[in-house]
Amino acid sequence: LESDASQPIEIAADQLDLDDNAGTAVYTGDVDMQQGSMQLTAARVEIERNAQGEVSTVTAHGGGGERAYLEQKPAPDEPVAKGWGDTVIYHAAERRVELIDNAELHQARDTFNGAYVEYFLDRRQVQARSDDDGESDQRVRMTLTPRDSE
Amino acid sequence: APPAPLPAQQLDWQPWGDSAPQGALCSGRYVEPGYQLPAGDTPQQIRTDSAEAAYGDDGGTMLSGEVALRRGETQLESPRVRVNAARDRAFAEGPTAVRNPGLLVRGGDASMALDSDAAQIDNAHYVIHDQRLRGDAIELQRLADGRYRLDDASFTTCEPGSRLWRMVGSDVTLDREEGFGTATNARLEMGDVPVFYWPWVRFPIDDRRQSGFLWPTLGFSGDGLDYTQPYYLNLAPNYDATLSPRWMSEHGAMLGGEFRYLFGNDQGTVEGAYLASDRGGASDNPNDPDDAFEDEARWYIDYQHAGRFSSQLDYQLAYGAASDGRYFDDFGRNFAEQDTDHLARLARMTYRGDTWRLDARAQGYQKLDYPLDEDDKPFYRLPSLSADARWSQDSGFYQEWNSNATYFWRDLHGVDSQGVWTDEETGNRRRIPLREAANGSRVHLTPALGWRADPSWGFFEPRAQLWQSSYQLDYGNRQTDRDEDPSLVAPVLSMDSGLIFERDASLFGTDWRQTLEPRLYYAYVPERDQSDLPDFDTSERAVSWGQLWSPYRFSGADRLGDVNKLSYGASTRFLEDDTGRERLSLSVGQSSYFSDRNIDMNGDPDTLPDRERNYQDWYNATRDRSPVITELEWQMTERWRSRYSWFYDPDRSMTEKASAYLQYQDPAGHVLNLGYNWQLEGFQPQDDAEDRLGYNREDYDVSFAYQATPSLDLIGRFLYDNTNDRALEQLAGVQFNDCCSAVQLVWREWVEDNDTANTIDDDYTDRGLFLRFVFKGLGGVGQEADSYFEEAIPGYRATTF
Amino acid sequence: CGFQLRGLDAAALDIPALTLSSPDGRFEDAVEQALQGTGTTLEDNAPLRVNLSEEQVRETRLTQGASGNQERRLTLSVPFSVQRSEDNAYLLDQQTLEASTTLSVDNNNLLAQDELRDEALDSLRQEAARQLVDRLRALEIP
Repeated sequence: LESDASQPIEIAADQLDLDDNAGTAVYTGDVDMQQGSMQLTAARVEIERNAQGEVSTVTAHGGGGERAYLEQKPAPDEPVAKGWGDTVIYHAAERRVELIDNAELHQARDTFNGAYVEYFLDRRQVQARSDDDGESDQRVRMTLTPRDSE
Repeated sequence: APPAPLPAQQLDWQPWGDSAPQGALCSGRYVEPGYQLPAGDTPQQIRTDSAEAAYGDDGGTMLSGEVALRRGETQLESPRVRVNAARDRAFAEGPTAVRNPGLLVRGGDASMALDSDAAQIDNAHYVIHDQRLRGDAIELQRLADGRYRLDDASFTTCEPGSRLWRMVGSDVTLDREEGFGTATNARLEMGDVPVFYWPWVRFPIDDRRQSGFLWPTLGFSGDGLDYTQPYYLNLAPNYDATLSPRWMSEHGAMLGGEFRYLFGNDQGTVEGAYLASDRGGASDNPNDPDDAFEDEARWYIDYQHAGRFSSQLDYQLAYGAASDGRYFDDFGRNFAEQDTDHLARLARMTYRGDTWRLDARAQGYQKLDYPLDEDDKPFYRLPSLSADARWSQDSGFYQEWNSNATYFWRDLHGVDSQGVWTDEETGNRRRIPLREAANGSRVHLTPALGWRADPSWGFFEPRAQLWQSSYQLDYGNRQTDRDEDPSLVAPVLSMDSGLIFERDASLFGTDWRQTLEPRLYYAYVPERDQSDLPDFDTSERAVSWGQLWSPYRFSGADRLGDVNKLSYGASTRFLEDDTGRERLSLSVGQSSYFSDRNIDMNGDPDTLPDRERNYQDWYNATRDRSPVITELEWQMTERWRSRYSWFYDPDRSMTEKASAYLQYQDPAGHVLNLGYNWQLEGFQPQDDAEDRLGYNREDYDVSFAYQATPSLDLIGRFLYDNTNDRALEQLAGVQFNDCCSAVQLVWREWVEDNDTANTIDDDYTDRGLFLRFVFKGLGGVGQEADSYFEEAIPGYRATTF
Repeated sequence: CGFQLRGLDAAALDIPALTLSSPDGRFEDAVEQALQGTGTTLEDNAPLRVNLSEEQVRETRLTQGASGNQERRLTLSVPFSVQRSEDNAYLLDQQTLEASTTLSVDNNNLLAQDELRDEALDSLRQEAARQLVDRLRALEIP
């Protein structure tokens, strides 16, 4: 939701390691992070904070055959947007999410699959690309559902 | 003009390479690849595959990098595709390809509706795979209802790269649902040469019988051009019609037509043609006056209907009529039609029970001679009622009841009370023989008793029949003192017997089962005066292998030939030991007569044929022994077979009839026939002088069909009359059969005998060229090949296009 | 010279019973007639089934002319197959019986043409039926 950015971040995880000088906190083991309507689950999550202590980027990694997962409700009347990726990076300031490798995004009854999907939480802009160096042939596959046939 | 076609590999065309099936005419075939994307979960759902995908800021979706988009059964391929915000339209940059089941369209920029089946492509090249139809168009639109509209389009069934023919039209619609297409100002182009133009044309695009123009047939007979443009109307699943406007330079414009129907057990056709006023035109027959039919209406009609009330009761209706006896000589569209020599008229109902067989019919013919002599007019059977039955007991004893009652009728013109009429052609006066001068009814009963023993080693069958005919005749204005209620009663006694011997033999290295079947047959029919009997349907039979074992010397029922003969003969047959197939059958037989045969067509027992004027008839009536008849049929190998027939008269040590035929038949379709046919003048008894062969017939007959290549067939026949040193028939045909077209060109020259067999002075040579184009896949609807070729060349199977 | 009467030692056709499946018509009567002397009975579900299909008649012209007697070659062919009823195995498959004769057609006597043609066809049917019996006799019934 619009209000998510101002909500507090709650994180549950098996273990927390702090790396003060880099200002990053590394949670590992069945990590579950909530911020308003956004939820992130992953095997390992690194949270970097800027100088003012605000969260700047959240990098989540899947593990044990599970991809990192992020969901968020873009607007009260719209269905939840869900994203998976071997790596999920959330840029708090830009409200931008990057899903990298085995990326998959379900958004407003469309789905994206591909090597890399970039998604702006508040603006329905999505950018998906297949792997440029082409060693893993993950072309972008979408399913679109025409509006009138809800 | 439509854009240039694409190379073959872009049209899903896969050449056979060396795995071409036997006799393939095309160098390859269209193979439709599968879809690149699975179908959507719902018919409306769209799946895409691309290098990049993004939501535009206007809410549209941008796809790029070898994009494939699938919605339902339609798949779009393009380098860049934009789906609008409303998600109801996709725009693709060229080069694009759109696939539907059985259809491929490649082109430039394209747009495709996402809420319906509509699509549109510029500079399109399309392929309909299973119909082998391809073409190009400035613009191709697929309409929401599934039809295709093409502007400035072409279509052909020729394989990619071939420019043999194509149709070009400015506004073309293809309706795959109904299976036909229409085009406005359509041109047929062969290579680059426009050959034909239609302001509007409708044509089938699949094998379903579709209304539309069939391909024109061209003919060059005599000196005139003969052009027919049939139009086929598929009115309903079970009835259809073909209208055939036809123009002949010699005769003018005429309209032909055919209507066919099928209702349950009943089916029928009615065909005909009408020419309001004949331009005349020279007849091919020099004996006929020129312009004999100038300004006259020429027409024909031929109605056939057959049906069945139950498995045992069926009926048949037929009515054929033509304006004159020369209609088919002048207007026969192919050689088979030109040889039509009569049209049948029939209303028949037949019941076939286990014991009884009942038949009621009214029957007649229009004999197509020109001019038609009065004495050649056939009688009508108005009606003919028959009842036949057979009972048999296990003891072998059997009884037969055969009965027929018929009223014969014909009307003669210009015949005076002496039966004399004037022959239009020759001008001399001729007389109707008294036996053919009456109309009247005939009741004909032939019950029979017999006993047949049929063990495996032979048979024995004594048989007695009572032959009984009674007439009520009306000679009209003809003066005669002949009895008007003549009748005939006579017994027909016969005894047939035979043994079957067998042994195993081995010859030429194979094992055979050989049979030896002697046969003995005796027949006795007393002499009865039949000079007052008419002749409605009777003619004398020539001697033959079958005649040796038959008591009847006449066909029909107006004469019963006296006979007192003993026939003896033997057959030997070689059967393949392992399969039982008969490979060789040799039969030799003869009859010896214990008394002269006094009854001939005149029916007077006290006279014999005149020895001077008619030596062969006199000899046949008085000889003590029939010719020795030898018949041999020999299947030499799987491909070679031959048959011989020889009638030899030991008393005169001369051959009265002989024939030898050799046939080579190759599974690939080649056929070669060599034949020799000899027949002594007068061998075949014939009471009408004009129909008596006036010379010894000695013909050499060579015919062949050769499949030079899978696409080139050659056929030919040469029938040579050695007695009169002339070619009776020369036929040469070539048939070019290629992937998308077929051309049949046949030339035939033959001798017409002007309906007189007794002289060759009035014979003349007729010739005709027959040309037929077929553009395959378009309107190749059931145009039946000329059945004449299969009649002229034994073993030849016409290829259907 | 080795000839002896057929069938004196054993029944001519050692097939006790036979089922004939064919379109009703005159060829079926000819086959029934031919089988009479062989001791084989016709039953509905015999162990052996003979399938006959529609007879086909082809005509070719031997002589050329419109008048008098013209000679035509009449050829009758009847495709047939033989099956074992128990497992529908084909003992003889896609075989054809063929018999032909020369017919003299006189178009000066059109009324007799049907009679002559029927006579010729009946004699061909008898010959084809005899061929069928010869083929069945050569069958080894497993």
